[in-house]
Amino acid sequence: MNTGQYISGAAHGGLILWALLGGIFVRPNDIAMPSQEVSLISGAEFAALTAPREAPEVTTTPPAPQPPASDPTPQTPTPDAPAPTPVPVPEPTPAPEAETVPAVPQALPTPVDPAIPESPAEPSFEEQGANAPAIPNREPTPRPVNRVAPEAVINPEPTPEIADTAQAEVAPDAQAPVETVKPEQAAAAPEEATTEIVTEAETPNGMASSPRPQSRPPSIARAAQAAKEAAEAAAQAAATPDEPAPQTPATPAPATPAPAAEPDSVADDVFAAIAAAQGETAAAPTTRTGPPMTSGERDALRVAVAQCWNVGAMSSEAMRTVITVEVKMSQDGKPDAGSIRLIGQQGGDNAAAQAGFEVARRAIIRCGANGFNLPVEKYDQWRTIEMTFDPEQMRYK
Amino acid sequence: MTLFSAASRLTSGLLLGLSLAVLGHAPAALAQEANGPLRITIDQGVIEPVPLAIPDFIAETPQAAEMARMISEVVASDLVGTGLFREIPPSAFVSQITNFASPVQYSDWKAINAQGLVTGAVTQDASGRLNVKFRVFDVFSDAPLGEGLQFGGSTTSWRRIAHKVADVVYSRITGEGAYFDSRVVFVAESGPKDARLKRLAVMDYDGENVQYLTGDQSIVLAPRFSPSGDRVLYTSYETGFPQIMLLDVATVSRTPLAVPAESMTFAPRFSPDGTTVVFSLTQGGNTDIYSMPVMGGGMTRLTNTPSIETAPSFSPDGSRIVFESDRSGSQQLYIMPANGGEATRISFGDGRYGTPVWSPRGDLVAFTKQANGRFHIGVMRTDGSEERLLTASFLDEGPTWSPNGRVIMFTREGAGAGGEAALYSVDISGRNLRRVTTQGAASDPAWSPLLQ
Repeated sequence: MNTGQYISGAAHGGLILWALLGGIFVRPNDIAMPSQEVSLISGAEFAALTAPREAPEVTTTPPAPQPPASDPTPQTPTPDAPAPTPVPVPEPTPAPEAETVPAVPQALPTPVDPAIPESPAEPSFEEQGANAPAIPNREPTPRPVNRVAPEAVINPEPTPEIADTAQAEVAPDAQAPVETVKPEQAAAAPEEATTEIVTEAETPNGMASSPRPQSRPPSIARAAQAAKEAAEAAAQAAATPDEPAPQTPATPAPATPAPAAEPDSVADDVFAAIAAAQGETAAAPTTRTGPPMTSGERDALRVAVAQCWNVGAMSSEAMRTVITVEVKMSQDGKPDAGSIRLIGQQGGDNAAAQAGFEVARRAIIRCGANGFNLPVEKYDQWRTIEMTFDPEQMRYK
Repeated sequence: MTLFSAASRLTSGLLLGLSLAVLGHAPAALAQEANGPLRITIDQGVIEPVPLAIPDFIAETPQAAEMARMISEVVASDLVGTGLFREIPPSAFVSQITNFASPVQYSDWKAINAQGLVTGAVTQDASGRLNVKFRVFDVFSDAPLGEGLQFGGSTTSWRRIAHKVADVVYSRITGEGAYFDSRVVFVAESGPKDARLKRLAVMDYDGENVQYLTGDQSIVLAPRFSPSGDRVLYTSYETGFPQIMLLDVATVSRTPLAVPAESMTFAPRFSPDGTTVVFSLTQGGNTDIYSMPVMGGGMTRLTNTPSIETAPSFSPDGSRIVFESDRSGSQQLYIMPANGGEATRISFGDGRYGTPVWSPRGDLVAFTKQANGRFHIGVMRTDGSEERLLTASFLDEGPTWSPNGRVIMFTREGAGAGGEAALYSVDISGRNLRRVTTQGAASDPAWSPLLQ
């Protein structure tokens, strides 16, 4: 009588158990809980990480790593020992340095490892950096000044008189000998300029200029050099009493591969092909009466005109108009003002084109007043010049 | 290894073929280049104030000396105030202008790098009538810019004459209209922030010649000039309830706009033809935009949504209206046809946009933007592109366009009880942000069209 109920109960119980345990409520492809391995650090370590960097401790206590001079172990000379052991951070560092390397700056970053030899390639980079024109980069962001130009100019002082080239102030000096009196002149500098319009609302998006990054900060490089020399000195000092001098630090391996020394066969082929083709073109008779303008020469002309192309007072309609202007040049590189004419326009009405043309004409005449720097032997190439003035990029500087 | 070398050989072969192909075409291109003129494209320039020489105008009658000096001063300050020009100090001049009729020595002005030269002469007769003639020269082109012109008027309107001269100089050099001979209606404020007295005033664009249009008994808000500059619409609290008033500037007589009782009306603005007013009306807790003829007549409802629509402003051709609405959940700008209809959202940036004003040129919409706890005045094209914020401060609001669509004037208010409202102007490029001189605090500017 109860059999049916037992069977039913067992069956239902089984069903429920299966539902609970059998996994039908578990989503088949359960999302794997993402986990991230972390490493735990103690509060002290964290404090050490976040603490402001201490001034470098050059002074007193030498770090635990055994200075080779005082260590009795060097009797077993292992010249091929890894670099760290012979690294001498000798306690009398300041003293010998004072005589040998007087140029070492006081605040040396301590952890300079003299065992890392400077690769021979690096000095060349540094020389590049040194030879690069000193770009004034006092401020990280442009300031709102009156002039917007492709090259930013940041004047350090209360604006001196505006001139084309910088010149130093020469003031009459009472102490100076009378013979060397220079004519009095006011300080002058190129007018301060920024590369974009700086409005109140906009965070300027860049640095005033972008100098090439140096391969290695010069102070660190100098410090490394000084430390290396100190290490050599110490090593020699250590070597004189003890015969097995650890030579490791003194020999920076110059075995770095010469960059691009081995000619690439691909590049070779291309160069050969270009040379061959150029030979052909040179030989082929053309209508040209002189060598073509190089891109550098064209760029120089472009920049020379752009310097005087002041779009600041142009109507916004004219700023949407691209115009083409023809100008005839005399052989000394000066534009013939009377020959400047508008030969094409695009995008605006005639009034806008005329306004743009007047601005362009002013630019050509002003910057051409002393003659553009153009190669005389290529006069045939630039007897007539067509200049296209496109203000598009200047609209939202 | 072999695979690599094979690939490298393949690459080199390809490169060789390519370079040969390119060079094969090169002679033709070079020859073409050699036949034509040298072509260069200049797309980088500089933006700086154009140096102008504005020597004092010549007094052709003895009593005009003072006027001549003052008029040339105003001309110079108008032009320099745009930020587009810089005045060369007279001490640098190589030669002086002593006679208006004698020819100009261009080389003397080139020597001091003057790109423009403005000369003028002033006569004043016994009856006090002024006559100013002037010329503009493009120094580096050795040519005058346009013909000489003259303006006449009474000595009392000498500032207007000077502004008109500056207008001509500006438009001849820049090639676009000017805005010096124009007026600005604004709310002059006095007293502390919690008991501020406000009255309508009108002044020249440069802050001179202030006249008060209403008393300070009741609060007034948001005045707007009519397209002809003779009437002003504003919101008054005279009755204790916001109510749009129409004021005739010449007679200073005012009449309320006929709207249903029990409704608040505000944010009025004229249509470009001056016959219609658009405004906001709140009835039953819902604010929508309506229009009605200025002379009275039936209202037309332009929007019909449960959200708040306000600050309507016509396009210069009168065909469309830009307004602000919070129908999307936050305050944004929309454009709809002038007779109502479907609105298109144009602002999509972060923050809240309000008080849109269509530029008189039709190409841009100026607005107030609130984002990250700061207020900005900005402009965008009418399709919402090229948004550009021009200012940033604690509170900037209520832009209004100069008649030529080049300059925006707005209200800036400082924080705290001591922060008082002042008028500022800024070029649409974001340059030349400067305070407009007013006596005391001022807010809610609205620029008139160029005076006739």
